[in-house]
Amino acid sequence: MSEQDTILGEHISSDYKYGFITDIEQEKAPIGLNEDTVRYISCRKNEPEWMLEWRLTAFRQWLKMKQPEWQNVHFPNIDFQSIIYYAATKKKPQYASLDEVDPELLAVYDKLGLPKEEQKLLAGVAVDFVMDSESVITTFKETLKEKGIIFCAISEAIREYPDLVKQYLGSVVPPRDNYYSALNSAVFSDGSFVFIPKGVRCPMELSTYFRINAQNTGQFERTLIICEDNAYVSYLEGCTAPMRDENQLHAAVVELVAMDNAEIKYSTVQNWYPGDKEGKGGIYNFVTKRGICKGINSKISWTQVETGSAITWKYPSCILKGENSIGEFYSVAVTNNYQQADTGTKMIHIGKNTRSRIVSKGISGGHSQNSYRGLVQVHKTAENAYNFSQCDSLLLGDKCGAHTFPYLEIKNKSAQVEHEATTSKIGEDLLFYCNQRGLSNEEAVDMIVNGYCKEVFKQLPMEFAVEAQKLLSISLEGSVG
Amino acid sequence: MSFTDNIETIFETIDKDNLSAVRESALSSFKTLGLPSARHEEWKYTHIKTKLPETLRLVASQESQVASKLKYFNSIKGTKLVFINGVFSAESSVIIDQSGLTVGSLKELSSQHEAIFTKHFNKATDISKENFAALNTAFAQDGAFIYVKKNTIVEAPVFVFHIYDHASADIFTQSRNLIVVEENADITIVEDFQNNNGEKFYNHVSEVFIGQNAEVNYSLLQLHNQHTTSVNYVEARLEKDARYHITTVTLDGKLVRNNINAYMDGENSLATLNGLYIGKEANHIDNHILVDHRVPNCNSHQVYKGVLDDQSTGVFNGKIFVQKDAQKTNAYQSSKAVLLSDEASMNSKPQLEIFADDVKCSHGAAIGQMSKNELFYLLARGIDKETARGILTYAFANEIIAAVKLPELRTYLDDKLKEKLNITI
Repeated sequence: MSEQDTILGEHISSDYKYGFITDIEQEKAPIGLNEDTVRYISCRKNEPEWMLEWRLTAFRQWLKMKQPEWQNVHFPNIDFQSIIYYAATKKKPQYASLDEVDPELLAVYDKLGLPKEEQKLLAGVAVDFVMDSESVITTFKETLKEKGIIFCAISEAIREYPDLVKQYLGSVVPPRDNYYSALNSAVFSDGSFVFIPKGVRCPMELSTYFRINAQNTGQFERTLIICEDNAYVSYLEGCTAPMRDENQLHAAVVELVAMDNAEIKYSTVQNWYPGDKEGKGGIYNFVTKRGICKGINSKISWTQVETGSAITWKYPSCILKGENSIGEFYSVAVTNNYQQADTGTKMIHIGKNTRSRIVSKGISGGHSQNSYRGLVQVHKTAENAYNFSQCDSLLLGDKCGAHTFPYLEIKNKSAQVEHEATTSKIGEDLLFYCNQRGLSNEEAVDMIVNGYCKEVFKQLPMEFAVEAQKLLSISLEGSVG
Repeated sequence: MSFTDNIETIFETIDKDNLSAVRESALSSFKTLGLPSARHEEWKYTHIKTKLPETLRLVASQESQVASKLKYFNSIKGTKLVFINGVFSAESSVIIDQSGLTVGSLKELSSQHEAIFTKHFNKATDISKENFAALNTAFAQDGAFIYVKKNTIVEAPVFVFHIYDHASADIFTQSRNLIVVEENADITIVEDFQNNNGEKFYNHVSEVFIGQNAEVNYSLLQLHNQHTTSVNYVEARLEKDARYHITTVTLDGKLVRNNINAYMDGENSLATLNGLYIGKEANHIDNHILVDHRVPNCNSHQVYKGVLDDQSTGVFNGKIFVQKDAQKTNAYQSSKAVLLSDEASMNSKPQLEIFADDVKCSHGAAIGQMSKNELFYLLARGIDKETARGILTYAFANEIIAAVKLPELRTYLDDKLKEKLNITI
């Protein structure tokens, strides 16, 4: 307990720990968005002609689309013409060791608490660090290469593996899917590309730290993960961003493809700047994440811990097309102060004997609004589909709101679909019990909330689980009465 | 072409009563709202726009003999109000007098009880948002008026029969009830919709005001409904300590949309909302339930069960709102549906919106088929598969019927359910 105390105390005393701006020279696209911006980005990235065409088609599509308004979140209109769509760190360092890296960049690592040298020792994590839209450093590449695994920036993949990219890019989330996916398809700057060939089990957790750094730079990441037959990969995504007053837009697209017997595990810890206590500033996080279980017996598992962002709007989804495929979604969404979250999942059952499981834990405090929105769709072809959903909401104050919008659309009689949801506050009897044993209210709440989220945390890889617990404590700071 | 095109011309032809101001605002609101399209969130699964007649015809000829065709009518005791094609039929109705109770036609009684009427009419519906409630307010001419004075325990239940008998397939009946139950009063109401022949359309709104410590038991029956396309609203407002129990039983219907809304305006009030629906052939049954907890210490309890066979479609949307100040709310909701055929489908949206922290709210939704273990148990005892399925379906559905308080009604519904499910036990 004492260790937890220290951790908690450390974080409670701090404001937003990762709020700082690093001065590194940057190359930026002119403000605003038109076909020339798209051409500029494509040109900067040395992209082949077909990629530019793909972007332009998406851009023209985007022009015809309208911003969606159905979400249960409120924010001022975004002026898409006042955003810089591309920023790259000027010098692209290509060092063999960390010592040669720009010291300022190293300082960023330090502030992030990234274990520099320790990285290599720690759990064998290869980090593809995205510093404002540009891949800066990639480690463990050699080990991966031996196995035939491709783990690189997507811009590199476009140049090096055009056939793979052509085949899969936009196959799960087509550019026209929604407003922000069209925007992303037109202007995405960089992201990760992962390809696990047949029968390979990726020996380490792949991870990318995204970071928004240049002022007024929207971050448009594109991630594509392909797992061939009998392959396995676990991918981690974590984010921090500097503190500032202006709202920033982040519209990423993540696509996962799992072939026969393949398994993809995608974990996210998101703690972008949520705005200050008055709800000023903060990141807008409008993400489209979707995976397809294409082959038989394939499995996609999403785990997310959402504590940051002023507005979170994302629905990591699974299309269960292959027979016996499995989709999972585990989520903890914490909102405090004036944060708004509208998050959940979609499970589309198409193949026979497909199974899905949804566990969503919402925690709201302050003046925040926290919504779960989920869709379970069982198509006529999905014999013996099974879904279980559990959506719990915990309210920590009397000014916040918790909402549940589950949609169940069932078109097959053999389907079995169950949905359960509860909303409550922390029981007074639980608090009393803890108080009796000498725990303060704050400690008790922290303990109870962590227990409440345990089901989701245990799905995370170890280092992430620790970080997630810390984040939870920071996010709940001040919400305990 | 839709009937909204010539709506103003029709509006000119209806009786101008003392409601013209309300009617005009309702009309203008309906014109703004229009008919809900498939993009309308509340009508996502029920595409009613193309299912309605092309012109709006309100009046149908009335035949006095039809009341004799009413099912269930003769076998029961109580006050019976009969509406034929939306118009009150005094000669068919049976009214048991009791002091403190006023029942009859809204059209006739509204002027006699003007104070009560103006105080309550159109106060429970939201015509600025609800398309069909606005349409109804603009055009409805008649319906049941039930007024129970304070401290009156109404002894005989009040039955409201709506029979649709006209031959024309393009009449869109608009009818309207106003039910006011004052403090410490108690009443049981059964409303039954029966369609005698062919394609029918109706849009019916009931407003129910339940006073302090009063109790209302309301049953809404849609049993003989085969070719009917209907929209129903039951809007209830509950004052302090009020108790409200509503049961909807839908055993048939081409397209049925029920909006059952309860507003908890007074502390410590209780609402139970139960429903059973059985869909066969191409039936489309849509239940939209809303419970709005506006004040602290209220309880609400919803249980909806459905059985869907053939190509039928079921829709359930249950909303629980708990407003900022409604602490100590206890709200429960359960929606269960069984699919019996491969072509049947079910769309369920159980929704919670909570703005208060000291609450206990939960909901559960399940869609599936009969338990294989239960089926096996019955088969092992020598019961054939079809009968066993029937028994299980009956057992599943009977929970709602068994909770009906009026004994004669319970027996009647039980028989109807068995008939519908083709079982003899």
